[in-house]
Amino acid sequence: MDAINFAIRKDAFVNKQVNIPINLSWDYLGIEQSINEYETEVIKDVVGIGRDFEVDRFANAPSTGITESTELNYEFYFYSGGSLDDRANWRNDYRSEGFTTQEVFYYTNNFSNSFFKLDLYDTVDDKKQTNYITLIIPTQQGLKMDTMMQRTPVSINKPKFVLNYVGDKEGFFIYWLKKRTFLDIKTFYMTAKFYNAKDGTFIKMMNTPQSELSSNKYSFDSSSYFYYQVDLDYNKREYQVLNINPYTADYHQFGERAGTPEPIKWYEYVNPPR
Amino acid sequence: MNNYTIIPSSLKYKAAPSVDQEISISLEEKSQQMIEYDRSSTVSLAQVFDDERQESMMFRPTFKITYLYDNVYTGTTNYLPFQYNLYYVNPETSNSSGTWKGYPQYYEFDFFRPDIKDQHVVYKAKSAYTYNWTYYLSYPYNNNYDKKLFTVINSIGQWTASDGIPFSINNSTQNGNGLISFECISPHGLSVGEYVELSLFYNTTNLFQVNSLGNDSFGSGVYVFNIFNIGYTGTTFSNGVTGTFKRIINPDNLLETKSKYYVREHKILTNANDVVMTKDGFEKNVFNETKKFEYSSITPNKISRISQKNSSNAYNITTNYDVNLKGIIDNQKRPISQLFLTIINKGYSGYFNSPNSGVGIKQGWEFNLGKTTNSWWDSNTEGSNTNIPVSSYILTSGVTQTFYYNDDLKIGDVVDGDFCEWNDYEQIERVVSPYYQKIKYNQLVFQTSDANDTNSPGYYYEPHHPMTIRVFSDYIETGDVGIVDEIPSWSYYSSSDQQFRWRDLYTYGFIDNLGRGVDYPFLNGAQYPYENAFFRLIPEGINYNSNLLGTGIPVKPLIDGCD
Repeated sequence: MDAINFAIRKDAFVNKQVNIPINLSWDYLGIEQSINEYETEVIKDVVGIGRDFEVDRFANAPSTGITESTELNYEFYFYSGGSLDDRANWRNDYRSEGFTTQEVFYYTNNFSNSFFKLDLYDTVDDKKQTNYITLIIPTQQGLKMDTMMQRTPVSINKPKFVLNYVGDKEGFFIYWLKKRTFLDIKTFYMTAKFYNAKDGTFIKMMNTPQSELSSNKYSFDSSSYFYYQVDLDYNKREYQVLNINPYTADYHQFGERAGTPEPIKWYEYVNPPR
Repeated sequence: MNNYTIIPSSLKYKAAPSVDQEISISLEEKSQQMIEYDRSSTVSLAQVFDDERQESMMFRPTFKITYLYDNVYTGTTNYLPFQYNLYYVNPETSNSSGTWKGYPQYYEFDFFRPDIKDQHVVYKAKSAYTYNWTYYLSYPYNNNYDKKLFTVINSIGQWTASDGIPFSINNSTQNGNGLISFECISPHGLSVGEYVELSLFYNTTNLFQVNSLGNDSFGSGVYVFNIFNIGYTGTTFSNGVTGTFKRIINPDNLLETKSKYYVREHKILTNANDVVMTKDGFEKNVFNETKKFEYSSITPNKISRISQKNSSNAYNITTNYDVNLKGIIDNQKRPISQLFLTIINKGYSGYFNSPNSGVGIKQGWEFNLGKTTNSWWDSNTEGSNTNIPVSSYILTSGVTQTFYYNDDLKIGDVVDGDFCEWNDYEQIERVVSPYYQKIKYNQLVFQTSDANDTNSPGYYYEPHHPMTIRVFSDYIETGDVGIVDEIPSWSYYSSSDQQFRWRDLYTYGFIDNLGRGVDYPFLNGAQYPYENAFFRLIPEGINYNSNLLGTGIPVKPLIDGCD
């Protein structure tokens, strides 16, 4: 405490006045608001910040032009054996994968439990990538092809799919976070696998058949040959699939749209002989 | 402020010495430490959740719509894509006469239109749900007191909405006493003992007390009110006299307790592409789907096919983004408490909506519906036109036809709604007569009658389907001026009572002892209200209220034993 001394000079009997200043360095304004703010801050620390994991539906973007078609076309080709130099050995037919005409026609369990699995990763680098989205295309969907079952003409499913808002819809919509606050990913990279319920195996698919590889059929840039790019448009809730293989003959150019109208083509990858 | 008088020490007594003096100033502090419960706050997840919930004005509403309709009008057409796809009636006869008569297929009415490849429209799968109908969210936005209304009932003709509810007088007796019965065109909303202000004057008064309700007919109480005939002379209350009335609760407080009447206008909140519709899996209504096989030998194009007359689907409709309702007030300047799903016919295939003055859809209210169509619905009646314009396209196949369809509404567009009553003193709104729209076949495309009639029968539907998102209290809160804090902005100041009057807005999750209130999911900062609704497409002469045909005819109950 500081002692303050005043000397009061006596001037006859005239009253004199001394003002003693008392300084309070305390501000009462906004105390309640401060407490509320502090309370909010503490609650946030204790409870944590809410994260929005709600998903939205993304549909294939319409094609440009008059038709504005929203069809998403997939074609899967299975290796039927023979020379890896001949593109014709990859066939758009389940029978090339070991199914019989009867199994496909009658939807036997080993056929109907088989499916295509499309995985969407955040990067093409398989050492770092994370699988965020999986789309399933069941074998019950798809277009038909005419064939003979013993001596009877029948129509059986083939691995060619036209997905849309109506009709075959499984695998058409991508359900992904509607807000970008938790994960902000706009571009995914799609791979394909076929899960075969007949023999319990799965096969990996490429965007170009190995017949197109000029030299070593088993040595190639996996980031180009195993992926399609999927771009999300959060504003329109739409997506587009793009070709990212600069060496493929199926598309005219790098970055060209795939699926609409040109189909997204997947070819069975044949492992090197043991 | 304390004053101290300092006496110099030399003056305290004679020969006192001069010495330094000290004054101790006491500082009195009136503050106190906060008590424990004020300093600490218990963090409750439930409380945090509720705080966020009560604050949120983001909504993602979902409607489940059960669609009921019957495809009842047969007709003929020379436009081949339509003719080849009818649900034929007596095809054997048509085969010999060459005039193919039948019903349009179910997909001309359904919410979902499949790709039927009839060579009529270039089908786009994305538009599958918007070829026939379009869907919007709307909210009651304004009261139109000047709307001109019209009814053919009892030759009442035209009146202005603010005039009140029209009636026709029918004198009768009850226990030997004379009664003047007022037969209204819609539910009057009166109780015994209340007063009515008539458009008619007897001498100088037009204020009368309601003595009883109803006549001899079942359920007539909601349409008919009576006053004692105490010996009124002259022709004021003669049979057949028509007029309008307004409801009054307290005759001593005419100004504040008199009801107001208006047409509620809706503002559109979303665009046509902002909603997502899907079929409800496995859900069908109780009515069968009528199908048959059309044999190739008795079709005009000699192709066999399956024909379907009607469908029985249910649909889910939701918005594809959260709708922000912050700051939106309703037609009574209150926070919005109801959202509406507004369904408007589009009719892109062109069967309907032959325009008059550029408008295809007609509009009216329940009192415009009758057993048969009436002049209000004539294409040439301008008063029944909606404000929804048509567009068109021309195609040739067999004949050249112009096909009309209704344009999509946009955010901010305003469409008419129900005819309503509001009472300032009660702070409550009542729907007097629901709003309907009517679609009619374009007789140049599909002839349902031999002559090209401008007033052909058609289908009616209620476009607006409410969803309650907040609930106002069943009690009226009052507050004196300057005494009650937090009087809401929507309160009404009663000059006679010197009080504010209002209904409280219940919080989300609160249900009162009458079961009133809302409690729907709240997730990720958005409210998820849900509503089941029926959408009925009503053929001519089905939904009329027999009371509206005029006096002395038994009244159809508003709610029957099945409801």
